[in-house]
Amino acid sequence: MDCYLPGCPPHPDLVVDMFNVLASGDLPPKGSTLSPPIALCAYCERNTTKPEVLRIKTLKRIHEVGLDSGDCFLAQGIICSGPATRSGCGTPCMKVNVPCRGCMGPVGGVRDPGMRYISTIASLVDAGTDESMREVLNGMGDAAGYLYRFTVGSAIL
Amino acid sequence: MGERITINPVTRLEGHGKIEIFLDDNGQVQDAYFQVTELRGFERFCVGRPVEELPRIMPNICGVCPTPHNLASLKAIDMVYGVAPTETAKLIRKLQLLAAYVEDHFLHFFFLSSPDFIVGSEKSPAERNILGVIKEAGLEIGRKVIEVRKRTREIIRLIAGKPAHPEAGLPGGVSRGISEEERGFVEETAKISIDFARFALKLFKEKVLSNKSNMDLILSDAYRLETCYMGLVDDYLRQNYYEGNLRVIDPKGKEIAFFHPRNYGEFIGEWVEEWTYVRLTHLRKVGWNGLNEGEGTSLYRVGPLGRFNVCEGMATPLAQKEYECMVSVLGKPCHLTMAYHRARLLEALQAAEEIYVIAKDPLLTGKDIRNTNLRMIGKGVSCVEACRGVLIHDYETDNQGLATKINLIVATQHNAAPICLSVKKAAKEFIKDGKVLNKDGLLNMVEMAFRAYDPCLGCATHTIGWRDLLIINVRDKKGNLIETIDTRSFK
Repeated sequence: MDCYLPGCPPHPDLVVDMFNVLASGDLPPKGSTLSPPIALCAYCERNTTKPEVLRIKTLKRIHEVGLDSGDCFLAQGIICSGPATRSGCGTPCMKVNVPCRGCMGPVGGVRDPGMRYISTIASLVDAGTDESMREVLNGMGDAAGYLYRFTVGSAIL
Repeated sequence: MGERITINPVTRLEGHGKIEIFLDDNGQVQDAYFQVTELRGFERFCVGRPVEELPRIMPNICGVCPTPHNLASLKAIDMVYGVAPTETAKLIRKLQLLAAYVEDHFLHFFFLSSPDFIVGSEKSPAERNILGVIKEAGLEIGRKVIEVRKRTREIIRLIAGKPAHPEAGLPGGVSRGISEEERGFVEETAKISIDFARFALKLFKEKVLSNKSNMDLILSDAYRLETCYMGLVDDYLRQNYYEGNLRVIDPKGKEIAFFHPRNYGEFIGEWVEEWTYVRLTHLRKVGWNGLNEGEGTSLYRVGPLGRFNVCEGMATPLAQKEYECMVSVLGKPCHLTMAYHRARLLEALQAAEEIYVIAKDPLLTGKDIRNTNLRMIGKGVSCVEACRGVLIHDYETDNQGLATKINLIVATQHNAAPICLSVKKAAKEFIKDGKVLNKDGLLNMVEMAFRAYDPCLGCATHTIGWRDLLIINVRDKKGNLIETIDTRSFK
C-alpha cells in the first residue's frame, strides 16, 4: 500500500484530490494519509458554539436531546468523535444534524484512538470525585462502540 | 468420472461469491451451488450497541444498498421506542428510499445487466460492459444515467449526509428537514427520472425484446424457475416499497400467505447449509424440502419479479400502464428469471412518479420533523422492500435501549436457494457431456442466471467485465483436481 484514503466512504472531493495528486506526479511519502491530520473540530460548523471552557456534567444519547439547537454536540453532553477524528470529510454528518462517529479514522500521530479519546472525554467531565466521574462516564452506555466504531481493529487493548 | 467446475469470482454483482458446479459420472450437471464466501457478523457485533445508533451502523453492511438498511433500522427503532414518526418525517424517509430505488435500479440495469443483452451475451467481456452499451445505444445514455444517479444520490445526501452510508435519522423522525429550494430540486429530479425511466423501458423493448437471440434466452427453460413469490403490498395490493403487508403466492399464482411483517417468524424459516454462510430462507409452513421448484416447493423469490407477481397493480399511473403491458405479454405469475430486468425498470418508473407526488406535497417542507414522545418498549420489527427484495430488521433491547438480540433477513437470503436452482438450470444447458461449451462466453450464461436477481452479498465492490481472475477448477467426484482453466490466457 502506498497511501491511505480515509473515510467510510471517502468523500468524493478526497477521491478527486487523490487523482489530481497522482496525475501531478508529486506523490506524498509512502504511507501517507491523504487528508489533513488535524481533528474534525477544526472544520466543524458548530465549532464557534463551543464554549471556551467545555465542561460535561452529564452524557446523553442522541435521542435524549430535543430538536437540534445547532450547538457543539459535546457541549450538550452528546458523544461526538470529532475531536478524535481526522478531518477532510466535508462534515456530512453535521450537515444532517448528527454527531461524528469517527469514520475518517484517527487524527495524525495517535496510536490507539479509543484510549486517547476516553482520556479526552474524562478531562472534560465536570466531576469532583472518582465516584461522580464514574457516574458521568457510565452515562455513555457503550464506550467501546463509540470510541472504536471504526478503529477497533487497530486498538491495542 | 464426476467433475467439479468453479466460477470464482463471479462478475458484475455486489459482493464476493463463488459458483460450484458438480458433474455426475456421465459429465452432466448434477448440482450447482451459489456460495457466499464472506461472513459479515452484523447480527453479533451490534449486540450491546445503543439501538438508536443502529441506523448509522447497519448501512455499513453494503455500499450499494445502504439506504434500505438505514430505513428498516429507523422503523425498527421507532417501535423499540414506542413512537410513530411525524407525517413530514415519514415523507422524507420515503423520499430517501424512492431516490435509492431510482439510482440503484438504473445502476443495475445499465452497468450490470444490460451489457449482456444490448451488447450481446456472445461478445467478449472487454466489450460486454457499460462502455459497450454506450457504443450501442449512444453517448447520451451514459450522460443521462450519470445525471439521474447524481441527482437522486444528492437527494439522499441532503436527507442523510452520505449517499453511500446514510447517517441520519432518529427514533420518531428525521434529523434534518427539507427546504423549499431543495423541494424544487426534488421535483425537477423527479421529472427527469420519470422521463428516463420511460426511455429505459422503451430501450428495453427496442434493444432487448426485439432481438431474437435475447428472446431465445429469456424464454428458454434454462432461465425459467417455478417458485413461490413474496413482496410488500399496500391495502389495495399495489406495490409499496416502504410499508404494508407481506403477500406470498404459490407457483400457480394462488395467495398462500398474507401477514404483517412483525409476524415474519411464523412464515419465514431460515435453513442452515454447511456449504454457504447464507441462511437459506423458505416458507416455514411448507417446511424445508431442499432445492426444488414447482408444486410443493418451499422456496420463494423476492425483488422485482417477486413484487411483480404478488401485486395486483402499481401505485402510480405511468407505471401501471407499463405493468399492464408487461402482464399482457408475460402473464402472471411469470416464472421467467430474465423478467427481473424489465420489472426492475417498472419499479424505477413507479419510484420516480412517487418522488414527484412527494415533491408536490406541502408537508415535505414541514418543520415538524421529529416526534420526541419516546417510551421504552424494547422490541421492534420492521420491513421495507429493498431494491433486491424484502428486508427485515428485528431488534430486542434491554431497558437501557442497548441491543440484546438482532436478526436481519436480507433480500439475497430469500433468493439464495432459488439462485442455486437458476445456476443449475443454466449450467445444464451449456455444460454437457463433461464439456464446457465455449468456455468464455457461455460460462457467462451461468452468471447471467444469478445476475438477474441483482444479488448483493454485503460488499460495495463489483467488477465490470473483470475476467482476469476467473479460474475454473475441474475436479473429479472425489475432489481431485483434473484441470485448471485460467481465463487470463484467453484473448
